[in-house]
Amino acid sequence: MSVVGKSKEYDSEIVASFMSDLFQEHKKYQNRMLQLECEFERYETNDTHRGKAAEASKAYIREGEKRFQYEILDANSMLLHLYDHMHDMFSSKVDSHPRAKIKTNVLLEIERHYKNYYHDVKESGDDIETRARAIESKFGKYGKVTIPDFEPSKMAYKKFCGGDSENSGYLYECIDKFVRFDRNECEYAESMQLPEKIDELDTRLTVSSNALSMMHAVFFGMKHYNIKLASASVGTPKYWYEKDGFTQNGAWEKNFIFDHSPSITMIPAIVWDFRYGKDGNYHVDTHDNLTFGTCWQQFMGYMELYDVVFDIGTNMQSRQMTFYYGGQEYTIWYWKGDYLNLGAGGECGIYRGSEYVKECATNMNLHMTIQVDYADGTKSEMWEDDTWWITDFNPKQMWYSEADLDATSITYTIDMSFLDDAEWNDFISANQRDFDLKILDGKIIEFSL
Amino acid sequence: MATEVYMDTEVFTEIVDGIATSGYQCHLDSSFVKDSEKMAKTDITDLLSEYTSKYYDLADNYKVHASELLPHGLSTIRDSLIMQDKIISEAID
Repeated sequence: MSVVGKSKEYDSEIVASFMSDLFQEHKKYQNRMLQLECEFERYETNDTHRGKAAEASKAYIREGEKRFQYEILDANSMLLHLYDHMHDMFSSKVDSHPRAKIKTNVLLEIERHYKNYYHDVKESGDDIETRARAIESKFGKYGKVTIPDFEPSKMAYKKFCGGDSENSGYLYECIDKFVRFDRNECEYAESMQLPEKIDELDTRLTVSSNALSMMHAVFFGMKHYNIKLASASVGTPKYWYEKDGFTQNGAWEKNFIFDHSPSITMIPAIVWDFRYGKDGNYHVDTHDNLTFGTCWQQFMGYMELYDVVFDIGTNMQSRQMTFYYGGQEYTIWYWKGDYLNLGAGGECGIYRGSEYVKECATNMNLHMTIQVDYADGTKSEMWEDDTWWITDFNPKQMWYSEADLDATSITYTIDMSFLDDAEWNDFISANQRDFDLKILDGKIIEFSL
Repeated sequence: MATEVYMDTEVFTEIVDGIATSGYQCHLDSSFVKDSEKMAKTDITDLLSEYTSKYYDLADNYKVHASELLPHGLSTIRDSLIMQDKIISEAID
């Protein structure tokens, strides 16, 4: 019978037993997750951890980690629901007996045998009936001749195995119900899009895990500038602290060589993806061929927790505004700060997603500019680039205090002409007042921090 | 804006250790993946086995995330503060 394809088997008792064990195990898993949630609660309510870093890391636990937990448990419930649904549907559509068993190859074999019996009965019955009629016509005048009737037997066989028909009979219906149950359950399971949900969750988890694993403690000194490079912020240039490394002078010498010797600047450039402006300021290079046209930050995404660690080691201010493009939420996130050895300055990046951890919007290639008015009254040259992340750091402006940062102003522009009129109008009406947006030309916005 | 900065590092460490321990216990017995393949021979059970396997991989990744990477990130906040305190204290003398 062609409806089956490969042989299918189902044993309600075995499936029920497997599901009972599976559900028990998953119940334990859910309880373990609840225990973890209690630990998250402890973190959130810990009043011996106070301050901006404390609040932001608690917000991360609340909005990032708890949400992961919720979504993982939600996927868990969906998986168990699919098992439940399958078992219920087998019971209601195929066979409700708790010990029901079905094997299509066995049913097909039985059907084949019964079709043979049917044909035997049909041929023999027809032959006997023909002979009986012949006898009746010849000898009927001498007495009553009963003609045997094989029709009820043939009908019984037909009802059971379908007789000459390929698609009828009790056995066919049993198999067909089972096959339809299997097909419908597959369609139902696929409509729930569980693998897509798991993949999407796994991707976000990986982004978050990578970002967490990249976090390093910040070192910066007051008298002893033991820093070559240091920052925990993934969204900002990376520094490396060298435990037995350079003294203040050594660090300067290294920076001087780094600034002025073309022979070695390539190595940090590869690692940092940075290049210089005409004014000697550092700018991130998101197009660098040496790094395959990427910068490593894009693999990490960004979340507010990084700002916490950035802010612990140095001074910084940041703001975020959102816009929607093609139904997807994006964030314009911009900073100004003291970036330690890179100097004071700022950056602006485009991030995708509404989750706590946002992806770098490397699909964006927007014309952006940045210009810094420093606390001492000097100004950087305007830097422009077609990119998703623009920076401007001045190594001559270092160790900014909070007051210095307040006295510093950064002006950014972004060409938003890729937005359609509805998206643009929504963006402007939602943000213009709060962020003091100026519209320069068409859909080019200017804003400051 | 919070102006107060305070951390009892012992309490903080105990809580982060608690997260690591509880995160480590968030595991699923992987024998169910193999058993689900043997449960029945239908397209739907094959599909559910595939989903189960995928979910178990996610649960494994989450276990590493919650028991190692998250505690690492949280400990970094503590260590940054401790180091900051140490460096500033050294600069004062």
